[in-house]
Amino acid sequence: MKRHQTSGAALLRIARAVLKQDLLPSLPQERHLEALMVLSALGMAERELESAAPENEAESMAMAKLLGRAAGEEQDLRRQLAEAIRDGRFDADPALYDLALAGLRWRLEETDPRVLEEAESKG
Amino acid sequence: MSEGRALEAFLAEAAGAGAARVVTDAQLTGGAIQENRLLLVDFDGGPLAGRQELVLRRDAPSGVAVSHGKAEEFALLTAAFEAGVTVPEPLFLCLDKTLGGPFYVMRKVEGEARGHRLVREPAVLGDGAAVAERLGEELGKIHGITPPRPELDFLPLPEGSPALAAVTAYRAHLDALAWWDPALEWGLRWCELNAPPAGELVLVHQDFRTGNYMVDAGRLTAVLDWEFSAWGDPMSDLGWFCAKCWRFGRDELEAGGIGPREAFYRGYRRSSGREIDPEAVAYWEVMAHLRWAVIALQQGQRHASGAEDSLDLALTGRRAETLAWEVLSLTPPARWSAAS
Repeated sequence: MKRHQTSGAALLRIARAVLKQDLLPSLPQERHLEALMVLSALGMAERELESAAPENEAESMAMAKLLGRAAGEEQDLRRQLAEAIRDGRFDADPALYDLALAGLRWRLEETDPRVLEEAESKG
Repeated sequence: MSEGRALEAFLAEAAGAGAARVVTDAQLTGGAIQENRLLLVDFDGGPLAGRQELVLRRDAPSGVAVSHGKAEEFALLTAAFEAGVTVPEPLFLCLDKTLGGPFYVMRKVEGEARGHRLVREPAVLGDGAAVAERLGEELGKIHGITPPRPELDFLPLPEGSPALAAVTAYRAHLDALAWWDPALEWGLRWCELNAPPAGELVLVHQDFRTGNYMVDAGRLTAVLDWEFSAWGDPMSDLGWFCAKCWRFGRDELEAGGIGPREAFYRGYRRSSGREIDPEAVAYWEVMAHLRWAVIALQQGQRHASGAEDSLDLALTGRRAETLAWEVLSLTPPARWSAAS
């Protein structure tokens, strides 16, 4: 059985629809920007809830592999990778580039999927 | 003496008037770091005799540390005004804390500044190419202000390459935020390897972009927001203005989302007499996305840390991801070959 009849993501989806279709048109023009920000935040949260993985394990493993070390705490890996990049260990390195791209793609699916769609349409 | 009376006494004295009466004192919409008030003032006598529409600017209590204080901003605005840059005329500076200082008073200017409106409403913007060209001219005049300038001696003279100094500063900001993103680090390393050498230093505005100037029915009425100005590389302002992140969705209009890049460049070349190095501008466009990403993360942190609850700040922080994506698309491995 599911935890709830209507999931958190589904609740946000319907809340977003009410705000957009019912409430927004009746708000004065000068409050529209705020309402759009609320819509944007709800959309991000909805996509985050829908995302199956709580964290990006593939990225952590890829970072550890690039650094030639065992997997570990994500923040520690990030800090160590940043140091290595600053030291010039990954200059022009396609493997690092691909890792950075994949990590961002993962986060942008939630934050700003339109950017990814644009990139795809350009090929 | 009440605050209102004290302000009137200050205005009368500063304006050389017999008396000043504030008939309207209204909060204007402004940034999170500024307090902006509209003052309608009746002056008795003196050069401003009659009713004047003025704006009072003061730091909000939680201002960011990197922006200049009001006395410095007044000096910058004065230098720009005297160089013929289209800015609101700076009138009076008040440093007296008992009068609510430091603040300054400038003439009110009419116009639309909001970027998303300017790029989408032709009735407000008018001929976008003409406005872009005019903005190029304005930037050229700003860059005509060069050190040493005793009245701007609060601006530190950078040693070495301003680009490398920026890389160092942004890394330090990211360290302070404990935010280590391979994409931003990749971009910063690219900027380190490709940094233009230290060259001519001029007054750079550092926030010269759509959103920070006013247009009234197709006419540029003011270049705003001088609080980040510094001595730096002139090409950095051109890169900031043209960077994709400041085109408000009108990506095809490379000059700030309002006009063609060439129109902006033409105006700049004409007024500055300086050649534009397209490669250097392209470099500073990469840096622009990095800089905005770092600022976005700092703003997001103000919310995330609990210091200041704000949906706007929270969403700004997440823009860093989109900005980092742009950094990567501008710096693929093939674009490293020349430097590494």
